[in-house]
Amino acid sequence: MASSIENNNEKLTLKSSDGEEFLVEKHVALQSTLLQNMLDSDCSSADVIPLPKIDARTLALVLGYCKKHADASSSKQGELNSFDSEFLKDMDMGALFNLVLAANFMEIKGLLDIAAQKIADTIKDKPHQEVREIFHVENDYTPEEEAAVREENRWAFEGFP
Amino acid sequence: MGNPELPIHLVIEILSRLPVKTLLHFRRVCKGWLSLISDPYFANLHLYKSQPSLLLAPFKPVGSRESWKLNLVDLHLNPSSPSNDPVELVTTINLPKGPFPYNVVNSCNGLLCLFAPCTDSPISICNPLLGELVTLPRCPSGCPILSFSYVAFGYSPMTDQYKVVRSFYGKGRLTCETEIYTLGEGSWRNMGKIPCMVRNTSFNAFLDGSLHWISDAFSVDFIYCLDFGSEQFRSVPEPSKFGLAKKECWDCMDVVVLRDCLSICDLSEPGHSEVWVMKDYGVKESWSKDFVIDTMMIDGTCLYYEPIMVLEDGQILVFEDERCSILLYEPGSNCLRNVRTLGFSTRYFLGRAHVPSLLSLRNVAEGENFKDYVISIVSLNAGKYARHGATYSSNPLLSQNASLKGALFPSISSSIVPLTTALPTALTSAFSSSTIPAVYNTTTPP
Repeated sequence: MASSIENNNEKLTLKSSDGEEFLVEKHVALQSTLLQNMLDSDCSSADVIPLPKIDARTLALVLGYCKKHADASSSKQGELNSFDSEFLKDMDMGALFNLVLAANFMEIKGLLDIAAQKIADTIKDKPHQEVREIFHVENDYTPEEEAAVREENRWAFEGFP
Repeated sequence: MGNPELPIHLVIEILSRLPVKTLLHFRRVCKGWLSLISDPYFANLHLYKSQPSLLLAPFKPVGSRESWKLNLVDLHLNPSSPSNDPVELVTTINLPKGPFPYNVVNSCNGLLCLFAPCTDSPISICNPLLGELVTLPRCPSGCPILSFSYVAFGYSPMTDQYKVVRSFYGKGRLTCETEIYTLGEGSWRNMGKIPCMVRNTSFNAFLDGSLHWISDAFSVDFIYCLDFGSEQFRSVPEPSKFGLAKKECWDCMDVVVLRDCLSICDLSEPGHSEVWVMKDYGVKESWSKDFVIDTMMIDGTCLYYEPIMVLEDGQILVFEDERCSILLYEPGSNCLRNVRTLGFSTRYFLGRAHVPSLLSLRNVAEGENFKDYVISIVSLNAGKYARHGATYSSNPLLSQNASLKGALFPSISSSIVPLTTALPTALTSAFSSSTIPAVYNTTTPP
């Protein structure tokens, strides 16, 4: 009997890229398809699962999201929606990028969706020069080429420098 | 800036959520982004993630150039984000200028079908945001083109084809006939006699590639649909409570798709909009009266109120065409409140679902009579006015684009890019400026 209780509260340990360990309840970890697949296969929950691409700060955020969504699966969608928008509210671009990478790696579809959407909402009205910096993209246009692209749908550039 | 670099499929994940206007602007970021944003497969992915806007098109525009303007209203399915306003007037766009003012028939995947009523002008298809226009060949039947004829435009996901259907009365008005035109085929086909005229009158009456409409009083069945893939006409059962008296009010009713269910909006009782919903498609017994909007309580008048969309919180957006008002109806409390009266100088606007898209007619209507036209757009938010002649085809950068078909979105038919899509080499090379490693990118510590 004691062992069945233990099974219900089974926990596993995740290790971030910077060496911090997180003890996570199994039902929370199951929000991640990656972890679910690992648990479904031979991986023992007694082992420490290393996540070498995710730092402690990001992993803490990811697990916060997973916990809320695992615990609230039967509750109202509206409550989760407001949690999601509050969760991302004051996050800076670096944190959002890390979150997108982590959600992609750990295969957490819902988190990937909201973080990608938040980045899209944030860059929506930004000038293209700033977007280059955000995405580390170099301008490979000659001035003439860029002017030609600009001319194509000039109405879209209205209001931008 | 301490942002880590993102692999290309995550960049696509983000960009595919942006509005068309922003994406056109972001083509200036670099050549790789220009290629991506101009790619038909990106256009399809973007379309899949987009929500419909409300397109307000003047009904039977006459004379004045003002009446040639289209207005696009953003509708937010989830009113809690990003602002609390479920409605946002975004852009005003000019229709292409022809010898006569165009009427908008309807919109499909961001493309509009246009014709000039009561003239012999040919039917046209345009993407108003890209400023592209395709003029179809004239209909072959000798019948005067637009008197007593209806036009409908649709897309079949099954065959990946866009088709225009024109129905008209045969000799002596005793029979209805149809002609159909598939974009890219170059000629009309006569489909012969049909059970009734193909009408296309509501915000959105497309479900699973079929257009639905309520027939007139002279037809055998009450609701018909046309499958744009198989080109078959079928009848769809109406609610069993609809007796003869009700059916005689066919012109006070419309079909509309709400929450992916076929619905009937019945305005035959003055001051009420009764909404019937068919929960299981094709099952007569699954029809039920879902809600009744008491429209008298708004202003004591009997205007035409049409529900157009159910929001995530269960509230229903309602459109009224005479004053161009958008209202919110709360089914629980039976409360209807005005959100916005747009009040344009031209009265009577058609309200149509329109998904602003990057689909280029160069791809979907290859080989057709194509031209770019001058777009004039007024952005109401910025309060400025810009005008230009599009020169899309003259840009040498675009002609270099190899199609990214298959490589980019191997499973575009399922329309969801898997989370762990392996990086296509074709695309990484397109992004030569930002050296993106071929697999998942290591995070840079902040």
